[in-house]
Amino acid sequence: MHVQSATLILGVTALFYVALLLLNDLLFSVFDFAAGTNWVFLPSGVRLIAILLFDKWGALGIVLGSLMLAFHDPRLTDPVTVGVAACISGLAPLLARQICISLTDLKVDLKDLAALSLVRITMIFAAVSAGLHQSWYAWRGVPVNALSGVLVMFCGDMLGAMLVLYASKVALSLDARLRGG
Amino acid sequence: MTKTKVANFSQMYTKYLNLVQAVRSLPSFPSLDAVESRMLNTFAAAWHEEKNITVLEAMVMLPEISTTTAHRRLKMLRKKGMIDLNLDAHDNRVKYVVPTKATQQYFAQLGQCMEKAQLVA
Repeated sequence: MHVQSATLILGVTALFYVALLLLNDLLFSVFDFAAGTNWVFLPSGVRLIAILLFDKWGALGIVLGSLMLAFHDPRLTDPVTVGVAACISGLAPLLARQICISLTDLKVDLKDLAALSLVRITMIFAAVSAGLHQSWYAWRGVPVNALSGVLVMFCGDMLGAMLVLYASKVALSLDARLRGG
Repeated sequence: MTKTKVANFSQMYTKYLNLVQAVRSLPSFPSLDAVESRMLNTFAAAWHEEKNITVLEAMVMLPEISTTTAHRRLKMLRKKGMIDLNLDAHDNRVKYVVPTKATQQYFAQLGQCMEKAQLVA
């Protein structure tokens, strides 16, 4: 891919990720479960869309966005823990995409992607992200019960992604109405 | 623009269109149960013939359900934004059951599904 296009994708993805992260803090910080673990996590929607559309460039954008706000959670201060967690934020969805392509009907060009498949893919993304993140946190001794953390993070990623998908659905139908459709 | 760039942009746009299609087909709320769906289909036949349906007529249009149930379902349909009630111009006691934009979208979606099913068959 051309450098300019890649840079644009990286930048836009990172900005959207940061924006959703800040919005999530504003709206749902009361639903925080533990350090880096939320009952509702809107940025997971950006992860899903960015990876499906932009593959590795979307993943890099997410890593960049995560690093930009790397220390926004005061409970996570160790740079190695935070840095690797940021990398997992981008790489876990990429791995999840590969799993989906291998095990589900997801095609590389998203051809014939049905709503039910999209929900199934969202679940796989949430499971892989939660599993990898919590494994890392447990390895680094972050004080959170690993099993609870996985379940909560899975819920948070699912809810967050579904909220973003439905917000996109509403935006698309409003756009269609404004265009006189 | 080189051929590779064009191919890349083309692929990205294709993915975007496919994703948008999937997002658009996510189930909308509120969903209708079988009775509500049946009522709406029955009303649709009358609306298609440009007939006005009063609430009283709507309550007896489905003989297999009681008027109490029909009334309750009419209230649910109205709550879900699938019907509206318009007062008669001359008699405020008479209310007509009319479709909403949501109803029209619902039938349009059903029509699209039927078209797709025909193509697949």
